Amino acid sequence: MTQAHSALSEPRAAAAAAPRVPVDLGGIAPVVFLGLLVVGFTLARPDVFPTLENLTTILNDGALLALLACSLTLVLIVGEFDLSIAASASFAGALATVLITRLGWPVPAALLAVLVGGVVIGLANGVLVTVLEIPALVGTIGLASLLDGLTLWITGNSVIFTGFTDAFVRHGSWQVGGLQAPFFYLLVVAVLLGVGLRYTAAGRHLYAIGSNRAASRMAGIRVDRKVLLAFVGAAVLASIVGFVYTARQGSLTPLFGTSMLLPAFAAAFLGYVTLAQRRFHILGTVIGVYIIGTGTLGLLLIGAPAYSQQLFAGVVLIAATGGASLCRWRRRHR
Amino acid sequence: MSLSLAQPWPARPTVRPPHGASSAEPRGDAASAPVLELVRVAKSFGNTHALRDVDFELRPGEIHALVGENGAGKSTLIRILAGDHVPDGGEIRLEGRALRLRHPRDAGAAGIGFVHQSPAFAPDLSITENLLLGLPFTHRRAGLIDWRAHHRECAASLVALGLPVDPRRPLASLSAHQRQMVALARALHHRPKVLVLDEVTASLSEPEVRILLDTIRTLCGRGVSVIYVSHRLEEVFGIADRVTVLRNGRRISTRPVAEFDEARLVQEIVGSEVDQLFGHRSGTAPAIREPLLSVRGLGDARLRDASFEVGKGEIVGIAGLGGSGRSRLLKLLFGAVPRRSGRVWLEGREQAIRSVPDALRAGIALVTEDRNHDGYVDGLPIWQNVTLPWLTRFRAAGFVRRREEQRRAQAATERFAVRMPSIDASMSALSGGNQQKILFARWLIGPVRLLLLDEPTHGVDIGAKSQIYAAIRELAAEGRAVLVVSSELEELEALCDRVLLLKDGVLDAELSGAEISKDAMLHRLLSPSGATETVQ
Repeated sequence: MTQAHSALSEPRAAAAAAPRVPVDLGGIAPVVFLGLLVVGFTLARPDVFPTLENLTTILNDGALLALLACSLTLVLIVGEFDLSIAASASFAGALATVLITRLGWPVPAALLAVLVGGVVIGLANGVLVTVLEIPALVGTIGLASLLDGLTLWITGNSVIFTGFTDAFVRHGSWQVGGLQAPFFYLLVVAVLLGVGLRYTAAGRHLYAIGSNRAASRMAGIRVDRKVLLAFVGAAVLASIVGFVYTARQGSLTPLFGTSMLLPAFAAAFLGYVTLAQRRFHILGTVIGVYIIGTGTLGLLLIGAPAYSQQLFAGVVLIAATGGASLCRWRRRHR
Repeated sequence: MSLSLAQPWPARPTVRPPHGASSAEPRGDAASAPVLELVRVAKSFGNTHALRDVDFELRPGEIHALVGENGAGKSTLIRILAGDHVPDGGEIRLEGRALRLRHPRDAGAAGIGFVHQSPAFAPDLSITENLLLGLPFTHRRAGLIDWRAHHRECAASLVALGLPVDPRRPLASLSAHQRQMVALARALHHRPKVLVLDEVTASLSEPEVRILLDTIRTLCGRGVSVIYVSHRLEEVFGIADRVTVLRNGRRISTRPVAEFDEARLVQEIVGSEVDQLFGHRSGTAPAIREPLLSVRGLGDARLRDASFEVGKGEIVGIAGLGGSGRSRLLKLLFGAVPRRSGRVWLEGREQAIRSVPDALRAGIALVTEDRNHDGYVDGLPIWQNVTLPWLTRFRAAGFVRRREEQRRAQAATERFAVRMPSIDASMSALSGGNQQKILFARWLIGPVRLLLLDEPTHGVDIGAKSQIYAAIRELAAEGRAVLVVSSELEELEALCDRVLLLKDGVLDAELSGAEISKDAMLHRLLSPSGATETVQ
């Protein structure tokens, strides 16, 4: 009983004397690597690589992939997977194209239909995972296949390049100073998501859920609802990507999204070890996309064979995530 | 040191009706040489003496019960026999020959078999595969495993234990009791001379326990000697020939079971030392307290009609054995599990609590039993763990005011004297005691009226423990009501104004003030007949 009064009022000597948390050097490694890439390619082809045109090309070409990777990041934050984002994008593009070019819908109505479609897809994924408790890997693959089937059905499995109205195409192709619409969309979305994840209760809750679901539930967070929210957010964003992609192309190749799925995952996981101690975040994901984009364009310009781009992406992803684990392991065993 | 209440030990009639029947002609031949002999075996971990010069002998064909509190040394002794721990000193002899047990394989090879409380299985594999897990397979000529022979062999050994099942079925299709039988078959596969049964009845129901005990007796009839570890004293009286009591790493006594009665056995297990480290709560007269929490008829599948009150500023304990529904009761009040019946009032107003957010809104907080599992969130820094349940209170125009949040979190952790590198550090950088303090600090941020504590000092060192006790007392003194579940009876003795005894899902009795002592609680919890006075 003698300590009864001291326990709650003991001065903060302990906190004052303690050492500072060491800065995580591993976190800036990917950024340094991006800088090295730029310097390296510049030295290799000083005449071709360091041009303003190439910079805008990289920024423009990566923007839609970055948006898709951001949508994936939302789901990864809550500790789930979504393999249907690419199929959602394909489906949204096909839906918009068919509604506008074949059925003559006005563009805003088609966009609304795409957004509603995104909400439905997200809810379906969320329900599969939270209510039916199907592992996300399985549930979202199932839905992805289903969506790809729908896409092929409504497009008749053929490329569509007629009937693209200006009003539609404009949404993906306006430019300011060489930078195209998708890049500006990315700026807006990335800032909104980044701020939302950091400064809102919902954002904090998503991170808490991803780290410890049981503890989050015991802290009064409505876990299933938030997981559902993440899936809906991801599907809606992926649908917007599909819409903008199609508008930018001015034509529709069914299942165009499929080729973006693995790069989106690679970018998100690169982001996981970038500038933060092992957490998925929007800025990291965007940096991840541009590391891959810079490498891809640079290799192309120095005349490396096409397969080297795949090799590059694979090596970077494994080196970055593996390197981060190695750093942690060494710190623990020092 | 604490009594482990980790095993359910529901009130049930004695397994073997009259003691005399078997103790008249005890198994185990006193004259013949012991099968297994431990001579002055010692083992310490750091400064803790887990076993101090313990002697133990097992006669051929006898069932020898090993009893004691948690930390008495039972598990250490068993793990030494299993080859998990190497003793610091002493000698182990099997049939007169000195044994060196350096690895779990050695024990099996020497002829000592084990069945543990929850045997490790691969549930998706077949029964046969599980039974043979880690054992060499029999191969056919082509180098392929001869499954037909293995299945036949397993079916036979299971039938011998009274379990006629198809060994091709996955293990997952078996009940707890059937799995325990498979574990037994696995232990018997080597035809051991000595069989160690460690809390094997923990997850079994009454009829299953009978079957298992019958099986064990049959085995003894065939000459196997058994070391039987159990918290369930009825079983000890029902099956054992002799009993060895361990306490504080020492052997207290070894006697034929007939020389014990229940009171004496409990006395030897508990000892008479009184732990005064944490002081005793000088309860104010309970009658004049204004009730803060009233519960009527609270229940679910496990818990039946719990009715009680907790006053403002009062600390009420719930004592019960593992599986009695202790934690369940707290989770029901917290809305974390659905309840079947019952009404709850806080300060006279009825509360409809269907979820954790409902509970938080009503001012009910829970510190969970296992902070790693459902306590803290390691992905968030310390300050965000403190404020996690109350984030919406820091919201202005949709955004969380992080500065304000950090300031409040800092203030809360200072009140609990948390030792931490900084408020930005991760939770895993803290010791168990400091993690626990963070989880207490969490409930200072919001308006908590009722604090539910499940094993509040689980895995916490002794210094942090007394600080946490002081904190609990102070939180109560500020007008909150506190409901504590603990398997450490000393803890309840030190903290509580009143203690409710929970047996098999029923609130059975209540102790208050000076009546609260470890002995009193233990006697009531262990006595099978139970009911002394009924609450409400």
